[in-house]
Amino acid sequence: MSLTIRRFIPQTIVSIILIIMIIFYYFYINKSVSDAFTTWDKALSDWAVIITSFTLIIGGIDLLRYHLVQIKKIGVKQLPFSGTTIALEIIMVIFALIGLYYSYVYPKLGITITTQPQFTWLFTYLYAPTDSAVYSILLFYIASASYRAFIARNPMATLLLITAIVIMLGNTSLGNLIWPGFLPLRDWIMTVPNTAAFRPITMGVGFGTIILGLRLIMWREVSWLGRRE
Amino acid sequence: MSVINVIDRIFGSRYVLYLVLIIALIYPLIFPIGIPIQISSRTLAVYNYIQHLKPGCHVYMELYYEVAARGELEPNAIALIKQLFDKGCKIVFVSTMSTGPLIFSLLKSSAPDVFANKTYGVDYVFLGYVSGGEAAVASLAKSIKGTVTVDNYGNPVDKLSLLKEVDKATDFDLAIIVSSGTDTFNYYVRQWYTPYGTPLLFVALSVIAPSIEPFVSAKQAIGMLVGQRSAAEYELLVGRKGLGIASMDSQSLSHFVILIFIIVGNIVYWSKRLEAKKAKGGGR
Amino acid sequence: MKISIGVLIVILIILIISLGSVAAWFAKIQLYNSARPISSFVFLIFLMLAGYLSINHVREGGEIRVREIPAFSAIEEGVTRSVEMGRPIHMTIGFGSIAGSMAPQYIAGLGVLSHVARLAGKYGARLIATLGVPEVIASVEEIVKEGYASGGRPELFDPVYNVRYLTDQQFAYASAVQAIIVRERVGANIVVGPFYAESLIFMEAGNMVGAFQVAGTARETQIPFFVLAADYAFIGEEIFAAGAMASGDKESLASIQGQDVGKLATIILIVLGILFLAFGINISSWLNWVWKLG
Repeated sequence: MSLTIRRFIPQTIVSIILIIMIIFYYFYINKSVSDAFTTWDKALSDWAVIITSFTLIIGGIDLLRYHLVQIKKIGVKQLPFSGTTIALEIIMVIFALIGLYYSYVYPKLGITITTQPQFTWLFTYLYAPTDSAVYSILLFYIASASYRAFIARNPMATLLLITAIVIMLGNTSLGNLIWPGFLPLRDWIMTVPNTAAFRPITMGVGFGTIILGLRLIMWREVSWLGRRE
Repeated sequence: MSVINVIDRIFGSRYVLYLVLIIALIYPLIFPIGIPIQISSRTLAVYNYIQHLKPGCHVYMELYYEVAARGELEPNAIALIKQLFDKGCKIVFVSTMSTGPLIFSLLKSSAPDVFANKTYGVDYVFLGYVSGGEAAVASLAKSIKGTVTVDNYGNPVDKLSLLKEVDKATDFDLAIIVSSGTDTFNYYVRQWYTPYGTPLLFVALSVIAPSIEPFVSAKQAIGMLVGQRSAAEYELLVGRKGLGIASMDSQSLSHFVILIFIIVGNIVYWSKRLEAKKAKGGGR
Repeated sequence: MKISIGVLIVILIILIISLGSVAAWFAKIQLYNSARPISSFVFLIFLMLAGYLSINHVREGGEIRVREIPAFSAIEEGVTRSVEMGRPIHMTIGFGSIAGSMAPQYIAGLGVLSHVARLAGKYGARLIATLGVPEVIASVEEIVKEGYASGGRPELFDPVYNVRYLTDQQFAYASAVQAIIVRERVGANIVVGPFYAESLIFMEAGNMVGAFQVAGTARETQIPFFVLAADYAFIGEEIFAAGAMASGDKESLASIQGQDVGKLATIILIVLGILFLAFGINISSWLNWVWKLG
């Protein structure tokens, strides 16, 4: 690809959009222009949705390619893992086709993918439990991470340790049995020092984003396009 | 091998920790201990706020969470719905997350008693999934009927009697945002509170709470319910024992296990450090 | 004293904005959106101009010292360590859609990825870049390919091995990444981007295989997990600076000074706010002032 397509066009689009966004956000524009802008803005978000949907297809193909190559490379031993993924991809395609068929051929039935009993079954009894299970793994990981990390190595770490213990006891009903003051203390820690610590981080992120925007406008941020050499 | 090393071996092993944790989690679910639950002033404030709403009020409820967050958020939502229904309030449910319809059916199936004497279309309505993120939230604030034409079950919105009473943000006495993400709270503050002044109530995961705390302290929301702990407290307040209270013992016990492990970890660390110091001193 | 063109441009911009605003105020023209406080616009322009001045200063041959970010320097250590151990490197930028408020963080993640890929090329390391953002599959492939090429080892690039799109569903993505970290026994685990509940899952998976971990996110709720569990962590806006550092371009690096100027201005505002409050004057009401005629 030539440099024009790879660098010049994307950077120009990004710069123009950023400047337009700033103008439309801060300046008063009369109603007809702002309505036109809203329409364009909506169109742009619709494009984004469409592009995302198509990239999902690319993603699916990418995944399929990876697993086919793995099966070819490793053989039967890989089958339980890669086979499952491929089977699930096929199920996904089938459901997409069924959903499309019903919603376009019999629109009056009001059947969409999410109201199909088979889909609901898969969602409720397969997807929901596995999704929750992976989320709940977090508890175990938090426990093992705390065992390693909450060590009173120095005064700062000791402070962190004490705070963690107070919050934990405040969060449980057991803490209340030990000392009723844990709950108000937890509330105080969460509302005062914790909020005070969060705000500067939020502000810093804001500044970082603004400067990133500046670099994008000035064409100085190019890493997302691949390297310059 | 010294005692400390043996302790470190046992406690430092993932498998031991995970096994003890699993037991601490499951045991109280099967054999509840019933540790008394103290009600925090913040939860009580939310409860009192809703108690002081006029009977027959209109409430908007956004359900923005995926199944993974159900355990923490659903008990809160059910307890709130119970309190509102008991007061004769009417609720418009909506979800700006694509899994919303499934989440709502799960919610209804886990609390059939709460929905028992309530009529769909009169006491509550579910608008289904409304796409568009912040734009959708803004549009719903302006006009519900201008945003969606049919509800989740395909009924035209003009035919639902509840939606004849309410249409825009100012028609609601309270908007409850049940969300597992941070952005949704921002959307509602920007699109509902700032332009229309609709009172907001946040229901959030414990991990999200710190980042939305500024809204509550700035009085942009009337309060927030956070995670399992709030759910348990709220269930006690509304008098419907559910998953919140049931899992509170589990939570207490598992936190306690983690605490013990942290303390042991510190003992091991310091004994080893002192030992190393002694060894060094002896060699000199 | 010679005044540079950059400074002149800045002065010109400030003059145009302030004169334009004053003129519009007297001519009773609704110039600004009445829903946004003017102060936020002033602050945005102030930050951008400060960043621009820093860039300009370097462009004209000046020197700007940017504080070192330990996590950034640690990436190279991680890569060399993996090569010594004969293990691959894992890097991920997160999941979701790039069309949203998290876009800057994905871009920062891509910046770090380009750095990691170049280092992988330089030391001949095997890189596994996993992702859950379907829109950037092509970008990631391109970045990894160019990274290997500019590191001098283009033959090492294998799109099927190096770039793995998983899914855009949170926990499916989390478990897939976790599986890859453990199964491939990665030597270094580099995690930079917007992360949600999966952050700790990645850190613990890396810890299980004894990987060297560098992590960073600008999502406040997940920063504690990274600080706690990773060997080195980018805190908050440092990930945006990392992108500039990765480019190796002195001018973009200089722009980071704009961030620090912003922080300084905020600190001054906070101190002034507290002082004025003692005299009963509330600065925040001035900051909330909006342009409203009549």
